[in-house]
Amino acid sequence: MRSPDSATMGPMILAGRAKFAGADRTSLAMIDDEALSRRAPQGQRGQLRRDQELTLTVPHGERTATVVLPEEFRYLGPGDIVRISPAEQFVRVLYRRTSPHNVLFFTENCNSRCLMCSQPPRDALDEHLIEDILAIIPWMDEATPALGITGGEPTLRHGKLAEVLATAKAHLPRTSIHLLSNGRMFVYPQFAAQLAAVGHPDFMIGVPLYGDTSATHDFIVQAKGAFDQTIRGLMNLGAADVPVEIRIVIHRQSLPRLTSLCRFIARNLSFAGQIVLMGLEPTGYARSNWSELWIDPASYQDELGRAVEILEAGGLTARLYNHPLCLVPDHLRHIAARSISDWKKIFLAPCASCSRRRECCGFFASAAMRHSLAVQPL
Amino acid sequence: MASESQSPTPPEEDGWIVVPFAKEVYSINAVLKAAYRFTHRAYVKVELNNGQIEAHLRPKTTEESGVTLTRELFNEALDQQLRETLARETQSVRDLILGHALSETNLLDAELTDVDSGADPLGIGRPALSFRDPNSSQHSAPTP
Amino acid sequence: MTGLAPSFGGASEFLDPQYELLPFRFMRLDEGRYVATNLAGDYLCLSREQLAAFIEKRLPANDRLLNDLEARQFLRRGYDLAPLELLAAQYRTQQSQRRWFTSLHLFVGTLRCDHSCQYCQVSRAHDAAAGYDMTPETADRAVDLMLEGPSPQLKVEFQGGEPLLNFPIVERIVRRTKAQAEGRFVQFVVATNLALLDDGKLKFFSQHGIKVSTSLDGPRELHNRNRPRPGRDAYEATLRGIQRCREQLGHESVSALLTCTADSLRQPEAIVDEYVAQGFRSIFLRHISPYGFAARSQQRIGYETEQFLEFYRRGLARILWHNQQGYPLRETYASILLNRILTTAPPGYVDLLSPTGLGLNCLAYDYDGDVYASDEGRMLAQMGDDSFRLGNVHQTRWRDLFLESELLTIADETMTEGMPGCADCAFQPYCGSDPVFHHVTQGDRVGHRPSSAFCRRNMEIMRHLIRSLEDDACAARILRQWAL
Repeated sequence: MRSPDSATMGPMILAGRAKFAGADRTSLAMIDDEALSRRAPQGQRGQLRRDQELTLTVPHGERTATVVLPEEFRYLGPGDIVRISPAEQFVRVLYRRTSPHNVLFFTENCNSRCLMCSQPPRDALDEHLIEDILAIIPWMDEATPALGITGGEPTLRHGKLAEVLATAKAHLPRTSIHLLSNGRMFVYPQFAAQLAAVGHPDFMIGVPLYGDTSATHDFIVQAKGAFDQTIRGLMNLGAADVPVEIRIVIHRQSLPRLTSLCRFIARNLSFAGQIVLMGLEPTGYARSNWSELWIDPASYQDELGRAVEILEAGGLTARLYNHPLCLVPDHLRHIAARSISDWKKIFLAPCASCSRRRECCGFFASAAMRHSLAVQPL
Repeated sequence: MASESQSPTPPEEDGWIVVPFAKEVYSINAVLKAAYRFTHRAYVKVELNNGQIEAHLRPKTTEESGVTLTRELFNEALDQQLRETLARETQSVRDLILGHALSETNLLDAELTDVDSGADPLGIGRPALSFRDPNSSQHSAPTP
Repeated sequence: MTGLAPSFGGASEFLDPQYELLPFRFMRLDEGRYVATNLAGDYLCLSREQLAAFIEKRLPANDRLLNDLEARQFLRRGYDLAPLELLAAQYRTQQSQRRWFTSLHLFVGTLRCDHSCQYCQVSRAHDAAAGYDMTPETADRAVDLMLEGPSPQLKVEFQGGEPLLNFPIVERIVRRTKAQAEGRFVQFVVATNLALLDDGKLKFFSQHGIKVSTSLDGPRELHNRNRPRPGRDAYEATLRGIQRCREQLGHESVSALLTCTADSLRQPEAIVDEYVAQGFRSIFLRHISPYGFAARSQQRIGYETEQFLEFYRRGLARILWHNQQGYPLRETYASILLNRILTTAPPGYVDLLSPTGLGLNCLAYDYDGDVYASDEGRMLAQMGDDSFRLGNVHQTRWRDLFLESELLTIADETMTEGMPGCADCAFQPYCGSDPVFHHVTQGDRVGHRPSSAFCRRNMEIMRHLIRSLEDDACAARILRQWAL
């Protein structure tokens, strides 16, 4: 499942049209630099030239292929990894050495269909995504601070998840791994045990929970049995000592039982490392279902306060993501994170005179026309 | 409701207030358990007379009102009856939960314990294309 | 749901109309409400009509109450297994420390005491009396016996008389325990009136991380009336001692508790204010000791219980008021109960366990080596009744404390899961049995529930806490902080 709410500095992972000469098959390439250690094999290192045109020269069998990249790719630098697909005339950036949080997409498929999904799933045959990931992890810079694993639903590729985790542990021992998953596949205890057995030193799974009853949660994720599976999955992960965080997206359908859900979490899922209360991103399915989802955060300040109080009284750590500071009660501002990636963060007109802009998560670019009426400078 | 057939002043026999409980509505156990709760305020004997359950009460002190005791006893008997229904319905799932909690073996979904992480017998991993799509994820299968 | 995009199912598509009852208990809470508790003690308040409708399956599928009941595992929808797994997990967690057996060990270093507290049931052997001290050999055997038990966590508490009157034995027990308890976590506490504190003892406490528990019955007049110390001011000595402990051992190293007398019952607010004035962060509003009850009628016991409850309610209100003014004082007994009500943590308070905490959770080693199932059991023996004596450190091995005594029979007979009046009490998950109390006050260790002062006291306090959680948002916020 796609949840692009982690802070990322620098331009987004892009895909773009490119012009190819001399390339006839899909391949992976790392942009080379004399000073860097040669983690990628010789035959997969490309040279980047920034002239009038941006060109990438890549070994291609016995020949050399030249790819003219779109202008938006001018930020690319040494150590970055791209996938070139001549057949589709496409280049995709898979990894950026200078990004504090790279995201690995396992699949665009998903077994749920959340009402507010910001990246609607596609029924694509995309097993190659995982193969690419397994291939490029060894090329990545060991100083990479963090890698996210997301999708669609990454656990649909359950056969490969442990392998990816083990590969990361071997080649990037100091990189923290954060997996986003609906947790349903962990209803099988072996799956949770298998991940735990990898023994990754800094691994956490973020699992969303939208209600404390099956009707509420299943409705929001549009899958019968999802709540039952997710709860049992969380319990299996807890039993296997896999670190877990719980995410709750707040909207009109999840708000009525928010406080009750936090009480449920405090009592039943207290092994969770942190509980994240998230604001809605108005894109994808969220936009299609807007009239049933949108509620101005200014109107749920009390519930937010009660929810956090119940979590903290239960010994849990609470965080707020995607909640601009002016829309959060004063006493909760210290737990609000700058959760919106730079490349899709905007500020609104009233923010120009706000004294706390620098600490604020801002707004989603997609929220330019769909935001609270109570935005005001602090 | 048994209380509707109750006269305002409960009948007395030798200083014992007689409180009848229709056998069709109350079980003997419910009456006994209800009566137990009053044994600090009254002496109680429970009898079966002509197929009718009777609780005989004798208040221990003069401050205790026979009328109040009777009414409270009826309410308590109703609660005990409800408890009996509840116990009957939840007996087996209670044993299952406690057994699962306290034993070393998985009594709830043992068939999932050894499922290989590559397999997916419940079909959870199928993509959900649309709610009404026949290939969309199904509810997990009932357990035996 | 008309507002959703076409390919999305409405809320009703995901609502299973059928539900199955899960095990729970219920009883009257107050005039308008019943309280129901699930298998693991999570609670919910509802009216009698709602309760009956729920059990008899007359509630409509989308009734809000059903959602709340489902969220607290009172029912299960369809073939869901999560509610069962959750209940099993909560229950398992609550039971998880019973297998470690005894973790609380009381050592009576001496029966001698320099005070003459009016409520003390321990033989107040004079200061200098001979023959009332624990010998080194007895101390060693007691420590060895303690360490035969499997618990990885131990709390060693020094009682008496006045433990500091036989300080060498305190030192000996601490040293021997630390030397032999490899890998275990041990806490030491000394229950003392602080009158005999000196730098040497403080240094020892500091070196070994020993905590201090003392008595502060209330303001000066009350404290001195309760706890006369011939020729001297017990209150002053206590305050001085507390001060010294805090300076040398840290502010949190000293805790205090009070013992209620008829005098105390009249002034709960003054007592609470005294604790605040002395900078305490917690206060234990303990009930009246039952030992004076032996000679009293059931009626008198009942009357004093009601007086205590009034005292407790007023005291708690005063404590909450201080919290609202910004002073974080917590009441210990309420904290213990809230921990039971709001969390699934394994319970540890001796008097609220089922099976009983006697022996299984707590053991007391008397100065002469006799082993008792609890401190109250020891006090009872001082008065000629050794029903709760399990053996002697010089003769009895660990397993025989349990297998050769009546303990297991007592535990079996007094489990709240089975006793009349307890088995279907809604507060059973929070409560426990107190065989010694019932033995003393009712002549029967199972006891008679409707007239039990233990039952009356606990039920009323639990009712009071639940009603506060439900009806008083301000109090609830404070009480929730105490649950951990």
